[in-house]
Amino acid sequence: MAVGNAPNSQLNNVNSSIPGLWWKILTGIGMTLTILAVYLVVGPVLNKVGQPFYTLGGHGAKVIFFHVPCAWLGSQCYIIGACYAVSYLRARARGERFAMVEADLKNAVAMELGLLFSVLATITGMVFAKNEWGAYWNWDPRQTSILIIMFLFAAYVALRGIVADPDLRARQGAVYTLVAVVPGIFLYFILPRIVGDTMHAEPNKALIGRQISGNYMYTMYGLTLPSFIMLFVWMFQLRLRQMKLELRKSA
Amino acid sequence: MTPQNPVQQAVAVFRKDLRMELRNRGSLNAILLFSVISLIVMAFGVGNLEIIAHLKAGLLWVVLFFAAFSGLSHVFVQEEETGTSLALKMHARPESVYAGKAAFNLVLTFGIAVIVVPIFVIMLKLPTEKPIALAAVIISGLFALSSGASAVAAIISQSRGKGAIFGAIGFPILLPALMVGVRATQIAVTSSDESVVRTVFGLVAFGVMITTVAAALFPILWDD
Amino acid sequence: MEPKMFTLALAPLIVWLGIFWYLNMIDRKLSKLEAGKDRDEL
Repeated sequence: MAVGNAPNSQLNNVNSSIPGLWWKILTGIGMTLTILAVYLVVGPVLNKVGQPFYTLGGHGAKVIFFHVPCAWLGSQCYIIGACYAVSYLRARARGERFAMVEADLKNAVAMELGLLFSVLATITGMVFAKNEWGAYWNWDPRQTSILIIMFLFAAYVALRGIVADPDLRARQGAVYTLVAVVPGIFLYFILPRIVGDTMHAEPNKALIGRQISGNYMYTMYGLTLPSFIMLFVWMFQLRLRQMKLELRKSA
Repeated sequence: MTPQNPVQQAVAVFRKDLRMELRNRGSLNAILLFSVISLIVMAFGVGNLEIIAHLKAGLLWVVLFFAAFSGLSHVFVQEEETGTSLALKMHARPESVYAGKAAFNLVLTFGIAVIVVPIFVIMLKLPTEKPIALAAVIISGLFALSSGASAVAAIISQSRGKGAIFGAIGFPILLPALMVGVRATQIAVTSSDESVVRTVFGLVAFGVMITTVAAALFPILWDD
Repeated sequence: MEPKMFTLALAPLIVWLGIFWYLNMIDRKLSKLEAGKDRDEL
C-alpha cells in the first residue's frame, strides 16, 4: 500500500496521510474488541444509586453501543462540513484554486458520510427504541431532529448531484452547508425547549455528569467511540481519494 | 440612473419585481389559485368531520407551506429564465438584490396568506378565541417560512432542473420552523394557558438569522 | 448465558469483517489506480 507520492499532482497528497497499515490494524482490533465487550461483558446500565437507566434486557438493546457513535459522528459531520465550507470560501477569497477544490471535496465527503451515519443512527435508534421504550417511533424530539438532519445531508447530496459545472457545484454546496447551519442551530437549541421533553435527556446528562457506574461507560468511551472515530477517518480518506481520482479522470 | 445607496438599490429591485408581477398578472393568479386549491383539497379531506384543534393547526401550516413554496419559483428563477440577471449583476450590489427579492417574496407570501387564512378559518372552523396570539404566530411563522424559502430559491436559482430539487432542499431547511409554528398555533387555538411569546421570538430569530446568512453568502452565488 | 451471548456476538463480528474487507479492498484498489495514473503522467 505504500505508494510513491505523485510529484506532479498537487491534488494527490493524501498517500502519506494517517490511515496507514497500523491504523487499519488498530481499527480492526478496536471494533472486534468492542463487539466482544458489548456481548460478553456489559450488563444492565446502572446509576450510582443502583437503579437501571437502561435495562438492556432485550438483545436488540445492545445496539445502543453502535447507535451512540453513529449519532455522534453524524452530527459531527455537519460541523466538519461547515468548517470546510468556510475554508472553501476563504480559499476562494484568496483565489487559491487547489485549496478551493480540496475544501469543496472535503465538504462533500463530510456531508456524504454524515448522511450514511445519520441513516445508521436512525435505524439503530429505532431498534433501541423498540427494545427499550416499546415502539419503533416515539416522536421523541431527538428522533425528529435526527430525521431532519438526515434530510439536510440528503438535500446536499441531491443538490450536488444535479449540477454538472464543478465551480457552481462547489459554490452552491458551500452556501447550502452554511445556510443549513441555521435550522441546525434551531434543532439543537430551540426545538427541544419548545416541543417538550426527550427520553434521551436524562441518561445523556448522567453520562456527561459521570453518574453511571460499571462497564457501560468504559466500553462506550474507551472502546466504541475511539474505534468508530478511527473507522470514520479511514472512510473519510478513502472517499476523498476516490473523489480526487474521479476529478483527475474527468479533467 | 442607478442608485448607489444599497438600501435604495434593494427598494429598486423590489419595485421592479412588483411591477413585473403586476404587469404579468397571469402568474400571480396561478400562484393564488394553487394556494387556494391546496386549501380546498384539505377542506374536502376533512369535510364535515369534527377534528380537534391540534390537527387543524397542523393543517393550516401545511397549506401555508405550500403557499410559500408556490410563490417562490418566481423570485430568483425568473431572472435566470428571462436572461435579465446579467443586467442586474451589472447595476446592483448582490446583497441589495437579495434583500429586494426576499422582501418581495415576503410581501407575496403575506398577500397569499391574507386570502388563504380567512378561508381556512371559515371552512375548517379554526377557533379564534385568542386572535392576537394567533395573528402573532401566523405572521412570525410566515416571516420565517418566507425567509427560508427565499434562501433556498437563491441557492438553487443558478442550476437546471429546479422543480424537483426545490422541495428536497426546502423541506429540511423549513421543517424546524414549521414544527415550531405548528406547536405555537396549537397553543393559540386551544385553551392552553402557555404563552406564545417565546415561540414567536424563536420564529422571528429563525427568519432574521437565515436572511442574514443568505444575504451575506449571496455574492458568492451571484458572481460568475 | 455466556455461550449464547458468544453466538449472538458472531453476527456483528461477521458484518464487521465484511465491512473491513470491503474497505481494505477499496483502499488497495485506489492505491493501484493512483500509482497507475502517476506512472502515466511521468
